[in-house]
Amino acid sequence: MKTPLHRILAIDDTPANLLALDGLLSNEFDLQFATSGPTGIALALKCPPDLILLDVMMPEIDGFETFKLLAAQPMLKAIPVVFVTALNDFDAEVAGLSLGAADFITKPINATIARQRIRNLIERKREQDALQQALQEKVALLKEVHHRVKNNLQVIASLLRMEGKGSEHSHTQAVLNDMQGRIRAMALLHESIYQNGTFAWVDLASYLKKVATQVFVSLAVSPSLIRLQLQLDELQVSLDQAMPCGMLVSELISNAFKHGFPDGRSGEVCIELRPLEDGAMWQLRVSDNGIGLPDNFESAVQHSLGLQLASSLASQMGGRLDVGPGAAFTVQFKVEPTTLPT
Amino acid sequence: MTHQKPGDFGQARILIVEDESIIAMDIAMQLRELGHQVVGQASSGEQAINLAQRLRPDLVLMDVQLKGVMDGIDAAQTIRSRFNLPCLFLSAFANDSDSLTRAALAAPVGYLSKPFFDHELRSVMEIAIRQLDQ
Repeated sequence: MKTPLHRILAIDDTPANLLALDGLLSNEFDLQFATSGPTGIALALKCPPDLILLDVMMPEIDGFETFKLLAAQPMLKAIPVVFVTALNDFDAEVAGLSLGAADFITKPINATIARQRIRNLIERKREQDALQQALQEKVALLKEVHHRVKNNLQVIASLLRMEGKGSEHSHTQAVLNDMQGRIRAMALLHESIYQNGTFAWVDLASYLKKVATQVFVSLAVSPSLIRLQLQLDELQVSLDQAMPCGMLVSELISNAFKHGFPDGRSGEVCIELRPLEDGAMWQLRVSDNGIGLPDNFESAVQHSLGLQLASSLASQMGGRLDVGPGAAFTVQFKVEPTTLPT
Repeated sequence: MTHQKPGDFGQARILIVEDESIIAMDIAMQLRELGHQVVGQASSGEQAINLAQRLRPDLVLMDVQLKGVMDGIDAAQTIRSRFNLPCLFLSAFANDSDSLTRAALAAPVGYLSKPFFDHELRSVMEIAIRQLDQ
């Protein structure tokens, strides 16, 4: 099967010039003709060409004006336009190129050069279209993946919730609730990524705020008894650091709410994120003014998955979890560069 | 509102439209715990319209991304215009301005982003029910 010829629309007010173009190009291209800008545009809208040859010197609406009209048409603005001018009309050439013309051909037209220029431009346009389409497919794919991630997180959360409600053991229920909390911290990170529109970095302060608020609300902490105090400086971190950081905060404040304030005790849980003096290191601190840590805290850690997780998450962030004085947990960490690996 | 007006505790008759069966089951359980009555479950837009017509629920809880020709927004618009029934959307797309704009046209009484957790469904439902009562 023969591939169809590329279609070229030639706009020129002088029929003799159009006839000349026909003689030069018609054996390689499918040519259409118009003798004024407006009729050319009407023709192009009906049947979009691959390229437009546009004479500069035309009465009433000249080539430049026609070009502007073409560029204002969403359907036509991507079509490459080649101006045809008299030889050595440098001013016209500059004006046309600065408007965004694809190229220039000077009269008298050299058929070999003109044909090659047109071939190159059409090929470039074809490549551009292919790229554009590939990009659109990737965007659609990314959207689909995002949808599936969140939907699957929802399925997991739903399963845990139903298992929890089905269980008669309070310990099992507590474990399943903790698991939902951890999934929530991960889900919020996904939310943050898509709100930023970038995978390169996450606004850590706003992410931690969401995590903390969610834990607070989901554990049904009474705001009149326990206050959540947030002192978070602005910081952009990579996804690799944000994820452990969010989960760490989720573990530590769940712990504080659950164990720090028994029997209706009141107080506050404080989360602090700030740079250290030299600026290269940052500090995350979660503390509360509840009853304090138990005397056997060291051995209690052995039995608490949450605290063991907290410790590994801190080292995943590139820091170490320090305990004390009092019910305070501190991680100092170096902020990793937030550019995407190539 | 239909023959059965929401009671003192803001109970409503609800139709759930969600093609992921596990999520649908979980939502049904949560709604019953909140004191609502789940009158039906659908897994496609077409089925949702049929059930809405037959059951006349007080509220339709509608997943935006449904498989098939019709998505949740199309179905909600039809249900709204034909039967004058309100919808509450459930969606896994957080920040997709296209669907948000389309969703707004269906005048939903609430919007819940997946994954959602107990307290979120509870508060969104409370706000929605309050709108129904007015």
